[in-house]
Amino acid sequence: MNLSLLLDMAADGFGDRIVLGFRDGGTTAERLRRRSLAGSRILRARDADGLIYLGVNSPLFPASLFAAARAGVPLIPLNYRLGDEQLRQLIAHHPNAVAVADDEHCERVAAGGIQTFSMTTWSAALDEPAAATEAPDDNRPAVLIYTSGTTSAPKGVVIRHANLLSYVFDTVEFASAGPEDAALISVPPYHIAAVANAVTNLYAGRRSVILEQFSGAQWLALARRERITNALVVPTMLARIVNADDEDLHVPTLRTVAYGGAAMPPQVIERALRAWPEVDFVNAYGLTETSSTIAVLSPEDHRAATASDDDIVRARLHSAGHVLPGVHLQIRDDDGNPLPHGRAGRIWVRGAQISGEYAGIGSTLDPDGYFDTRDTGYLDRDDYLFVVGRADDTIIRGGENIAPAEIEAVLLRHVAVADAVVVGVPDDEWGYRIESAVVLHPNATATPLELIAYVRERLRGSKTPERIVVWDELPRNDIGKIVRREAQARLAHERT
Amino acid sequence: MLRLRVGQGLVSATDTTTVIVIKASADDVFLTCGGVAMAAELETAGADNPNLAPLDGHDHGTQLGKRYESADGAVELLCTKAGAASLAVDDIAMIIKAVKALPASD
Repeated sequence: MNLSLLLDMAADGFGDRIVLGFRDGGTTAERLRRRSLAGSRILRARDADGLIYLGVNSPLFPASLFAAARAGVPLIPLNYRLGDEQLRQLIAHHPNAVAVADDEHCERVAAGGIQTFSMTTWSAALDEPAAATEAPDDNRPAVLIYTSGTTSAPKGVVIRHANLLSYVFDTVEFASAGPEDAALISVPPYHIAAVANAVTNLYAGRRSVILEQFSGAQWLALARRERITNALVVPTMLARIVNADDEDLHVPTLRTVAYGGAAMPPQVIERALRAWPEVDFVNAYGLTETSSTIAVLSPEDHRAATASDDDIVRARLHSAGHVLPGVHLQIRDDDGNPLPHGRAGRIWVRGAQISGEYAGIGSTLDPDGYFDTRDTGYLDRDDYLFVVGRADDTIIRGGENIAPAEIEAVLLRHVAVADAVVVGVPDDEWGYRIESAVVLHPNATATPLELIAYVRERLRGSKTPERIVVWDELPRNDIGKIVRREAQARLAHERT
Repeated sequence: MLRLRVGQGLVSATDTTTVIVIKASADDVFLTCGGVAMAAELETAGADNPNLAPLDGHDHGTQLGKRYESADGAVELLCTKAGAASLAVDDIAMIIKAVKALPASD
């Protein structure tokens, strides 16, 4: 299997439909196929073993993805926000790759001895004619994505063609989008959602419009201008869109908003539901290692939760919904034994879309084919999945395992608190002690002592932070995930 | 007879149809397109007679991107290139599978 199959099907099925870019002047499926052929010819001629992509998301991203696929080499999207030294270390893993980079980043890649195209020259090269070629069919790596490393050093996740194709075939119907459908893509290219977006929208026949650099105002303006019907956002983006008081949030064509990539603060989704009552919301939960989405909370689930008087049903607004049909899920205890409904443990998943493979390490699936997500969660009585937090974030205080997410959720319910992080800070007596940093809403006030009392009223003493400090903002990466290592280091440093 | 595996690509000997296996039966199956056995490689499929045409009753066509299911539901194929012939398992026509739409999550 090879991803090129999807592009060939799209070009055969609706070749003259614009699948990428603006309504005027966008790229048709057939043109995208021709450009992928031209790109693959270049990669083959240079005997490249990978295609590094270093830049903002753009119409060149899907073209590069499919060019690499047809050449049988992985696309390696790197984060252009990385520092020079981190970037150098990642590039050093790929000495025989070819790179495409935004103008301002070309020097940084070329410094590693890599053949580098600027986006401009790459785009021109893709317009050169190239003969049709067969794509290798032996299930090679399609994409190599480095994890953001919020808790540990970055690892290269290997996603093979069959992983992505299984995901597409299990979740999307070919050519199911209407000719007026358009998706707004605002995730960066080094995120698995950008890869999933590129392939699923193309297969559905849905035009993709890419917002290169996110701001709430630009997102709204582009959504209106390009008559966007579908959008995927990470929680921080949704927060910036719906919290912009001076913005008109009206997007008449918008039908579906999917969100994922990090935990959604309850206040943000509740506000979004009020701002766009006619929009279908979808919560998508997944990891890089699972080729994107493995569970979805559907629009009907959102509405049922909002309308219900039953606390169990209402709580599902903050769940990840049900697993996809092609995915099997188990909640296991620390010894690997399956746990019953209602009991929290480690989330394990199995299925054709699950990679669980790392560059230089190999497959990490267990003998039954299950992957340890290292997320903790539980299933309710009707199999709704609740993701509680990352196992790696667990604070061990005096021998007790404490999930920071539980304490953060309590803090976020306080009327003055806009953002919160809870971490373990090394402590001579307890091993780790619990500390927290919060961001307050503009013009809101709350003293640390008030907040500590607020948590103690709702959780037991051992789960109450010893210290809470107020910061202007929390360290978050550009996907919106809290960088806990930084928060922990800053808290430990400020103490001394 | 053919032992199918998920993800495998198959070609027709009688028309332009190609499919990919979405769901495979544990047993060998007699899978045909245009009444003639499908094969994993084009050369194998058309080896005996490159000018084979679909047999009568096996010429209703395949549609690009549609899923085809065997009568017992044990085999499911995705049509990746359309053609003039039709798909059958054990001489019983495969039918287009109604799909349950999932919410767009990307």
